[in-house]
Amino acid sequence: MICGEGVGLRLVLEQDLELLARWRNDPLTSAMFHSPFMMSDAALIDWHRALLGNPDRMRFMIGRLEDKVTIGIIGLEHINYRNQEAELAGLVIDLAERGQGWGAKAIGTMVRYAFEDLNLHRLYARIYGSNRAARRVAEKAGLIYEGQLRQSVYHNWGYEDIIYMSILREEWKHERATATAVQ
Amino acid sequence: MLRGKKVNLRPLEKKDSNLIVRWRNDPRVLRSFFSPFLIHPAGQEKWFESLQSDPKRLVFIIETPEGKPAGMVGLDNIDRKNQQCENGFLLVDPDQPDNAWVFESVFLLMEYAFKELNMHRIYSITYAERFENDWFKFTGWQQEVVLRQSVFMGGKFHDRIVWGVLREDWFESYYGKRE
Repeated sequence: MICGEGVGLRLVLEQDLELLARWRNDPLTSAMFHSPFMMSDAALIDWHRALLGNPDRMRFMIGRLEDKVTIGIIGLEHINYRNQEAELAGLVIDLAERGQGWGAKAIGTMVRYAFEDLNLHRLYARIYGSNRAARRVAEKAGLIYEGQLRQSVYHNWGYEDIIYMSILREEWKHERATATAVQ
Repeated sequence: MLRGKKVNLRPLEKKDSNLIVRWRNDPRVLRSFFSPFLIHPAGQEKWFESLQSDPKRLVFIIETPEGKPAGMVGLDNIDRKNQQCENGFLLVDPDQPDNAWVFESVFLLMEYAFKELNMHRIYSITYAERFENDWFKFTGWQQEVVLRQSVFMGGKFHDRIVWGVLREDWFESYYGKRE
C-alpha cells in the first residue's frame, strides 16, 4: 500500500469491481467521466484483467487510513518512460465523501509516488472545461493550467473543452521545500 | 526442510501467496526493494507457477520453530555451469522483523547452496545504505562491485553493492580452516 496523508493507495481486487460498477453506473457519480458508457459486470472484469497485464497503466483504490473504508479510485495512464511522463487519470471519489479534501490527498499521494518512486518527470491531467470541482482539486494539488483543446469532446448535450493541467517534478519539489520551510 | 536453531526453511507453497502479497505491499517496506510496484494476488500466483518449472530459482519460507511463517528467502539465477547463484528474494514479515532470524535463514540457505547444490560462489545485491552491510562484512562476504546510482527510489538515485563470497571463504569463516 502506498501511504499518503490520511489515505492509502492499494491495488484493485476482484472484490472492488462491485463498488466500481456502482460508481460507473450511477449517473450522479459518473457525470463527469470521460467515457460515456455504462459498464456491464463482464466488461468490468475485462477492464480489470487488461489493467493487470498493462505496464503503462495503473489503478489504485483509495482507502481512508483511519477506518480503512474505500472511498475512491485513482490512477495513471499512458505511463511513458521514454519521456518520463504520465497522465493522472481515473480519479473518482464516492459521492458521500466529496468536498472534504480526500481528492487532493489522493492526488498528492499519487504525485509523490510517481515522482519519487516511479521516477517520472511530468504528470498531466485532462479535465472537462465544465468540471470546476476537478479543476479546483487539481490546482490544490499543485497542477497548473497549460492549455486547452477547444470543443474537442461531445458530452452532456454539448461540446466541452478539454483543459490540460500539469506539474513537473522540480515544481513539486520546490513547493514541498517551501511549504515545509514556512512551517 | 532446512532446520536451524532459531528458524527453519521450508519450500514456498501456493497457500503462502496471500502472506507474500501482504508483506510485499506493506508501506513500511515499500522502499527497501529495487522495484516500486505493488504486487497483485493474481500476479503473485503467476509468479508462483513460474517458479515450479524454473531450475534457476529456489524459494523458501522462513518459519519459526512453532511453524509460523516469518519471511521469505531464496536463491536466484542458479548457474550450474559457473557454479554460482544469487542470494535474493529476501522478504521479512514487517510485523516480526528479527535480524537473528534473517541471519540464520541466510546461513542455512548458503550452507545448502554450497553443500548440496555444489555452488562455488554466491553473490548478493543490496542498497549501499542498508544495515545488512554490517553482517555481510563479518561472514566472509566481500564488497565486489559498486553499481553507482543504479536504482531510483524515494526521490533519488542510490548506489547498489554487489557482495560476493566463495565457498572456501565462507566455510572458513564459519567452520575454520579445512585440514
